[in-house]
Amino acid sequence: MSDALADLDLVALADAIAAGDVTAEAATSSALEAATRHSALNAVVRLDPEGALEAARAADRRRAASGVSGPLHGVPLAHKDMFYRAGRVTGCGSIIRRDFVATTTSSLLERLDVAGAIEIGQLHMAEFAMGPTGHNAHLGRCGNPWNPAAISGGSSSGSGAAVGARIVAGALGSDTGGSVRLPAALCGVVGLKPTHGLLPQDGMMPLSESLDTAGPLARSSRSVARLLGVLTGGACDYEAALAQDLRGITIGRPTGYFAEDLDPPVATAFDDALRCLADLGARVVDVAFPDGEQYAEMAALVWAPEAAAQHLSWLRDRPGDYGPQVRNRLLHGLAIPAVHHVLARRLRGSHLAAVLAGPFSLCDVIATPAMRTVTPIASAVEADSGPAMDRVVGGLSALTRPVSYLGLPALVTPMGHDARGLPMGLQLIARPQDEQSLLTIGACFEAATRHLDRRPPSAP
Amino acid sequence: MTEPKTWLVEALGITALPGDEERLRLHWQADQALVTRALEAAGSDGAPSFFDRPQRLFDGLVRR
Repeated sequence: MSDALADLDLVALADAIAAGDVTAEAATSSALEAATRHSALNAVVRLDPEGALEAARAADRRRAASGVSGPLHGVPLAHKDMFYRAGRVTGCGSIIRRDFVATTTSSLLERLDVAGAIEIGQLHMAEFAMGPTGHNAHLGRCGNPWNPAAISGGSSSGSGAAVGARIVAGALGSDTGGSVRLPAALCGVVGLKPTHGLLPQDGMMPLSESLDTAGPLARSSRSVARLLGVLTGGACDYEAALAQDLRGITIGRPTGYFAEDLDPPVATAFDDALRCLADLGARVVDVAFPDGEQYAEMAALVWAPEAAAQHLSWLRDRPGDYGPQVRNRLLHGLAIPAVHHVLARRLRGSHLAAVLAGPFSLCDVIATPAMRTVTPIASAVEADSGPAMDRVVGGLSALTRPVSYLGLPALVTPMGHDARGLPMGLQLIARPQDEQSLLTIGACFEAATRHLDRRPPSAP
Repeated sequence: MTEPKTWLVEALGITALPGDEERLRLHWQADQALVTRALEAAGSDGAPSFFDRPQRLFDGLVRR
């Protein structure tokens, strides 16, 4: 986008279009230009300039004739390349689905359409949404807008990078073990993993039906709130319900697993974030979070067999069309005994009950860093198989996978930058269905810290 | 438990690649240990509601 438009977050851009200060065509042209200008980031896999501009002009005509059609009228967006639209290719970051033309449209895309959004293209992702770094054996690596040599995070790599680079003001990603939250943290934007089951999953590439959820990314919690309102079908106006301060809110700081082995810059930024939340009126208390490490490991027993079942016929017939890392992770899923998978799923209810009766009896929201480490440089985390791959994957998502296993909602928002200027993310975790608390805390924190005002060097 | 290569090649019809057997063997050992720990933590009768409709408990909690 041009400088002025790129500085607008999604809500500001939508409101400017609604007020007639900016046309949908100008916003869309600007986003398309930004996508081209940032092609070296490799965040976009497919652009639809003609279709997007035609839709934008139609939106401008509609607004002139009868006003805006919804809360995202004329706003250009782009989404992870795994949401189906009838008649269009959805490649899922793969060779195997490279030419797949969907026959149905995702309910989430339909809801964004009804709200007036314009889709300009589809975004980079890890092959079949399996990979937390932004590497893809077929598409190449997605760069980080703050430093192209750093990882973008994944699997919603293009969603994080495109929003971070200010190509678009909002994007859809998906999250099975951290795939919205990690790119949000690494690219310095806001990302929400909603409660499992809150959003429909039709027309969306399946990875693990027990853990998958779509999730929005944007450059403020207020913008994520607007997107979530649309994605839930308007059932709840999260944006209108944002509170102005944090009085009456108790935030838990977990001891044990979530506090262990933090890189010093992460630990410092996290302490600063908690102090800021306390200054905003929240009460911060220590809470014991039961066995996060076990939850993280149990998540693999849940998702890996479900993913392997999805891929069994292609593993037999087209083994050479997978990247080595993805094939090896699927192989693990094939080898997990059915009884172990069933046990991991069955124990989930008991574990969730224990977390609600334990730490969540003492607080409204639990705060953790999104990652234990600062952002890695890409060459440091290239691994295709074996224990090295397990360490990379396990290390990056150590603090996000337990949340996925438990089905809880979590928001990631920037909590500062390290000495290299790379962003670090704060993860906020709530009880089931309490996305509102996350968005309120995120919005208040962002207004106080202004981390989101800082632009990546690659932004216009 | 069967041998990794037998499981892959004969049971699943997958073409095994170099290193697959060892990877599977390590995963099996790790997963077995994890499940054993989880069951021990749940106790001999399982954690509350583990035995009785566990999926319903989870569904009820996330949709409340």
